[in-house]
Order: sequence, then structure tokens, then C-alpha cells
Amino acid sequence: MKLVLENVSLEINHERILENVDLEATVGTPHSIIGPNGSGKTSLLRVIAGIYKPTQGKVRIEGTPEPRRVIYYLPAEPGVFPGLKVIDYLQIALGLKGLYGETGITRVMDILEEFKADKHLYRDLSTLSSGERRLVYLAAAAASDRSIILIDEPTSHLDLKWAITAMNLLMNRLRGKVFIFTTHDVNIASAFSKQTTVISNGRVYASGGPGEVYSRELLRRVYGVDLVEFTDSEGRRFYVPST
Amino acid sequence: MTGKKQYGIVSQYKRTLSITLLITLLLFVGEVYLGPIHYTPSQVTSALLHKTGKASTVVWDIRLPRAVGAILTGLVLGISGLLLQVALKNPLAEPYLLGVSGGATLGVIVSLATLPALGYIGMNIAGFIGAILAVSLVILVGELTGYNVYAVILAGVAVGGMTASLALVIFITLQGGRQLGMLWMYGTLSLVGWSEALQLLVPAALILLYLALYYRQLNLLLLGDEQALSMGVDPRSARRAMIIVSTITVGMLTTYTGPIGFIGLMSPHIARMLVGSEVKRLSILAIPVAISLTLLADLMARNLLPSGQEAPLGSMTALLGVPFFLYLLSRRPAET
Repeated sequence: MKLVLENVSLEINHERILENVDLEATVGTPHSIIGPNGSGKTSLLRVIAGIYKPTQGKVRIEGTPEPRRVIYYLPAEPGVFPGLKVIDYLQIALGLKGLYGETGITRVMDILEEFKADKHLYRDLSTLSSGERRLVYLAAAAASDRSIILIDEPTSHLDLKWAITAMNLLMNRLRGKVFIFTTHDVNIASAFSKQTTVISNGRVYASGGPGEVYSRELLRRVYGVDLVEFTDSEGRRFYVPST
Repeated sequence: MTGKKQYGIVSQYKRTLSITLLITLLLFVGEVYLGPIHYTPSQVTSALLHKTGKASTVVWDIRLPRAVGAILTGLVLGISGLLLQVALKNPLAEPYLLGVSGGATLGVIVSLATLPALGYIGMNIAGFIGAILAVSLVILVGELTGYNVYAVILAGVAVGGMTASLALVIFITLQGGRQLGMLWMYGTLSLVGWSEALQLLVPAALILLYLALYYRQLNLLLLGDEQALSMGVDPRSARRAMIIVSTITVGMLTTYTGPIGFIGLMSPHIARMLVGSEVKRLSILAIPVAISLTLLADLMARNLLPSGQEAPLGSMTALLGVPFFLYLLSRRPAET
């Protein structure tokens, strides 16, 4: 299965949000989208999710008869109904059968345990910490049976340990799927994606493998900051602020 | 481990539902056996079985249709509350607090004052128009405030207050039927006979059918608009449909019962506290809870006052509902 964006442009209220965006994502190649605030990352994900209709260009999903049914999209801040319980969320998001999702829940139990989402199945989402809540949302995305998983800011609200753990779990669980995520953290993108698209002002600034695409110069031009670069043994590049 | 837990909670759910249904049944029996005119249980039973004796007319022509009316009223109000809460993403929403019932009341009174010859059909249509106008005002405030939970409710209460006052002014100019009319203005089931109960089947069937057909949409809306959209539900049109269906049905209901508050607020909340928010699971319980609350409030309305006087049902539901509403308000906004 393959997801292809061809020359996608998006206008909202006569404002150009995306311009001539091309993107290709395939199974087993986690794809990150990075870029400054307001660059169009989330809008791009929403176009792929079918929430926004592109004003121009096409979103094509190859290798499936019914494209709408294959996408699972997790927004950065899903505005869930106040008082929704964890089990309600999982049951609805994953379409689990049975009064309390009891016929489907065993299938996804391992994943819920990995994300520590099994501990508070009967609690209100609103009573969890923002990090715990995020892990529930991520567990659902990881457990989804859909084959294209889109996550806006997977590591938001997570501490360092859980950001890394959750990304590793997602990599593992979504290995056989098309997985696209946006992130503010270039190091997360560097460590966990095999393909990256850098967006700036609604346009693709650069795309390819993060090892090839990211550089001090590119990040300085896109974000306007000076960074110090490190390269690990696998050729992945990481950045810290220069003092 | 959790698999077992899941089955545990399913049996707990079944127990909760059974107890609720039992309470509903008991209240239904109470509605038939108790009333301002005192009959012994055996007199009522004999009237029920043989349609003879002096209790027969009261039991068959007054109490039974009224009890059936209470069931249909509870059903419409309970589901309508649920629909409005999900549609407006507002756990405090319900037809009375949103001004829907008040708008319908005003519509019905206007129809009575201007075109009394049209009868129930005129009142039904006018009730619906009044309800739609009232809810449109509230939605306008919602649009302007980003659907702020409290702003929407305040707007609803204000519109409800205004429409009720206007209805009262017009009502005073009407001739005849003062006492019954007054009762109706504050909500009552005393006008529901067999023919009205039969007509109440229409809004009840309509709202129940809508819920049965669209509960999946409601469920997806609980996940938030973006996720719902990505799963193929357009939140805007789904919301519009839900508000229209609950407004039509409550508009029709109000023609027969007058405005009845808080049932639509309390029943989804009580059910939600017991079994969570998933719409199918929730509504299977919320409907009998709503029916029970209506029957309980009507039993109070008919039996609490001395010397056979009847209190308005709306006063009784307010007596039950206002403390509940205040309790919800006093909790942190995130949990309401």
C-alpha cells in the first residue's frame, strides 16, 4: 500500500495554507513532517485524513478498494466529550464489539498494556494526567486495524522517557503500516523516521531520508536558529542549541 | 485478566439495567394504583382485570393512558437530552434549559390564541416552530461564544424565561380552562388520555428511530470533531440533524404536556455515571432512567398535595432536577 500526494494545494478562506505539496509514504517507512509553527504540518495531515479537501491536486491511496476506511487519524488535541471514559474511547475509536468492547479488547490488550492504558480503563479521560491521556490515544492508534496511521504530534505531553518509549512502541506496532507523524522535535524525527518532509510556509522545503535532508544550514534557514549538530554511528543527525 | 474484568463489568451492567427496569415497573404500577382518589389495591386490580366497578373508569381512562404518556414523555425527554448534550458537546444541555420547551410552549399558546380551530395539528406545528426559533437564538449565542458550556445554558435559560413570560401574557387573555391551562403551562400529564397517548407515539417513535439509526454517528462525535471527520462523519450536519430531531420531538411533546424540565438533564447523567458514555450502552439505561424519573415526578405531582389537588409535573421535575443541576455546576468544568 502506498499513499501519494500530488501537487496538493489548500486554501481556507482565500488564504493559501499549502502550495504544490508532493509526498509519498509507503508501508514500513515511517514518515515525519517537520516545520515551524504555522507552516502547515497539521493542515497537511488533515488533508491526508480527508478532513480538508485539497483545493488543487490529489491524495491517492494505492492498493485498497475503499480509501476512506483505511485511515486512522489522531489529532494533537482530540476534543473528546467531557466525562468520556477510557474504555468508551477505545471501544468507539477501535470499533470494538460487545457492550464494553469485550469481544475485541483481548485482541488489543497487549498494546494497551505496553502503553499503560490498561490500568485505568474505567476512569474518565479528563481525570488522567495529560501524559496518561496521550498514552491512551497513542495506544488506540497503535491498536487500530486500519492501515494508514496519521498522528499529529505523537510525543506532546509526554516526558522524555515516555516520548522515547512511545515512539519505539509505535515503530514496532506500526511496522506493517503506512505511518505518518508531525513533530516539533527534529531529534524525534531524526531518530524515528526513515523519510521526512520539511514544510515551510505551506511548501515542501526539502524531503528524503532525515540523514540526508537535515543539516545545520537547513534548520537555520527554516527555523531561524543556530544549532550544534551531532551524528551517531548510524548516520542520524541530532541537534542541540548552540550557546 | 482484563478480559475477565470486561465480562465482570458486563454482568454488572446487566444487574444495573435489571434493577432500573424493576424500578420503572414498580413506578408504573404505582402510577396506576396510586392517585388522588383512593382505591384499595384489590379495587384497582379488579378494575384492571374486569373493567368493572367504580374504579374502572379512573384506572382505564385516566391512570393507564397517563402512565403510558409518562413512559413516552420520559423516552422523548431522555433521548432529547442525550442528543442535545452530544450535539452541543455540553453536558448541561437539555431541552428545557436550552429554551426548546419554552419556545414550544409559546408556539402552542400562540396557536391556541389565534387559530384554535386547528387543534392539535396547529399546536404541534406551532410548538415546533416556537421551539426551533428559541433554539436558533441559543445556537446563535453558541456560534458567537464558540459554544461555551455556560454561555449556551445561560442563553437557553434566558430564552426559556422570556418565552414562558410571553406565553403567560397571552394565556391570561385566553378564555376558559384556566386551571387546566395553568397546570399545562408548568408541565402536566393530566391532559393525556388514550388519544393523546397514541399521538405521543409519533415523537417517541421518531426520536427512538433516529437514535437507533444514528448512534454510531453520536459515538464518533464523542471522540471530537477531527477524529469524527476522519472517520467519515461530518460533525456540522450530524449536529444539525440531532438538534432538529430533538427540537421537533420536544415541540410535539410540549403540545400535550407543556414544558417539563430536567428529565433530559438528569437521565443521561445518571446513566453515564453508572455505565459510561458509549451511546448504545448509555441509552439502553438512560431511557428507563428517564421514564422512571417521569413516573416518579408524576406520582409526586398527583399524591403530595392534600385534598386531591394536583401539582404541576414540571414543578416536581424541577424539585428533583435543580439540586442535581446545582451539583453538576459545582463540580469542576472538566468533569461536568
